[in-house]
Amino acid sequence: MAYREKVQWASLAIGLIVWGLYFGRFAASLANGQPTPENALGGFVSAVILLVVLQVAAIIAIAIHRPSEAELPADPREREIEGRAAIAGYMVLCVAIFAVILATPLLTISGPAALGQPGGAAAAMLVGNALLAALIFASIVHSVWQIVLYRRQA
Amino acid sequence: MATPPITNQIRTLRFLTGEMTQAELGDRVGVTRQTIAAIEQGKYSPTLETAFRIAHIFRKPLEEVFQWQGD
Repeated sequence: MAYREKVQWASLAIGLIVWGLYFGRFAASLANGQPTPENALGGFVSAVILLVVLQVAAIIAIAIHRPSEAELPADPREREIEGRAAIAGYMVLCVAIFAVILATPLLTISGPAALGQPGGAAAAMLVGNALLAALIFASIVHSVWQIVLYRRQA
Repeated sequence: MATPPITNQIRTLRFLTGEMTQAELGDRVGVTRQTIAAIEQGKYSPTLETAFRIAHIFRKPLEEVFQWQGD
């Protein structure tokens, strides 16, 4: 397995775990009816720090195992795979953002009302997390599509 | 993914060039071993530059290394 494919596998696994934990906690706070902006923001910052630390550690570990490949720039096939996956990720991001726009009334009016917090903070948390979910979903599609393209040519 | 209508003689040429490995060829061309493997198996069509580099290493004209099988 090529260095860049390994990096994609690691990135995908770490992203799924970290964001899975973050959204799991956020969903639990919604289920309890007690989501607070402080907790949501704290969870987000913790998730980003954890993500960066784990990804850097994983990339260093892979690079130590394959130092010769890690030093080389991506070859034309790898650049083509990255480009095609970026197009897929971008298309998914556009659709997901459009879905968030359509769901805005639900996220800003019905959702906060159901939580018993009709104020702007709950609406901001729901919209912010919906946009974050859209970004992460597009990022996951980007990684998965790269892995699929690598596997097809393996 | 459709198979590209291009065949190649890379495997044979590697064998005839002192049993050069895919990794060695990849190093000399500037691509990964996996990319050489994908080209050899016809799963990926190389860029024109990569194709010329491969042909240059085997000291063969391009058409002796790659053959177009399309219409």
